[in-house]
Amino acid sequence: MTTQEKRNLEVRGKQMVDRATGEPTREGPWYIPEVDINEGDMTISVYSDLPGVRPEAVDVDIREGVLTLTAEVEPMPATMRLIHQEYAVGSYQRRFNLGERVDQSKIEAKFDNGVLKLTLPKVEAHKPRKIKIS
Amino acid sequence: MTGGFWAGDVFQRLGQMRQEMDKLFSQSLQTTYGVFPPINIYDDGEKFTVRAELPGVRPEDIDIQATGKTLRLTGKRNIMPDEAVAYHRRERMSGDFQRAFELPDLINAEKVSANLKDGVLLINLARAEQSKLRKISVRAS
Repeated sequence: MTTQEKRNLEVRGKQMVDRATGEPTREGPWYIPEVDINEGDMTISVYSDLPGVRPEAVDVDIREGVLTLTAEVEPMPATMRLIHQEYAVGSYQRRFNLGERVDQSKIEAKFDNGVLKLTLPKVEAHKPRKIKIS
Repeated sequence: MTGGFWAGDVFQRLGQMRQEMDKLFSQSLQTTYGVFPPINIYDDGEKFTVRAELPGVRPEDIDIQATGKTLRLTGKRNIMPDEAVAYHRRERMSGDFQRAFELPDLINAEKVSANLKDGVLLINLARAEQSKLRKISVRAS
């Protein structure tokens, strides 16, 4: 079927959420979203790819130092017959241990075009400090 | 009806068409896992719907061309790194992509629409009139 391809970007298959550790609230497959995590001086940023998720369907829960990201995806209508499949459609869930460096009360979330950005400010003690030499 | 175009022929033709279609679908299912973006194709009888997951891609960075049976999808996904940061994890991909594939039927290039919402690209491609399956009713005489 495919006549031309460009392999600049390779795809790994979606990884399913382990039923033993996950706690999905609805039926159907659950997948682990792909993330980038980076750290600057003041914050740690987490970018999660959540294609197909409506902004109101994203849930971020923080409990006992664990941040749980849950995002439900509506299945395609049953009238649409799948004739070619390269990936599965399902909801997303992933957990992150926050650790003592993150100020859990000041976490911010922004969702745009299928990407969730979490901004995790560091607690004061872990921010870099310039010490003046007198 | 004339020229031996009778019900038995129709069923035979439909059977052949079905075999051809199945052949096409089974071919399509063999292809290419691992090329970005992964693509699913749906069929509701009237139109094909191509669903591609492109989180973080802007509409102006996607180019779609449709002719005959072929759909071509090109674009780029640029994930700009934040300034002065160290990465703990880097799973999301960035770069140019190009995909082209053949649909099982001719499409009406005038009736192709595309919509990008919440990181999902949906392309609707109406079947060309000549490739729509017509129902032929047989009247009792």
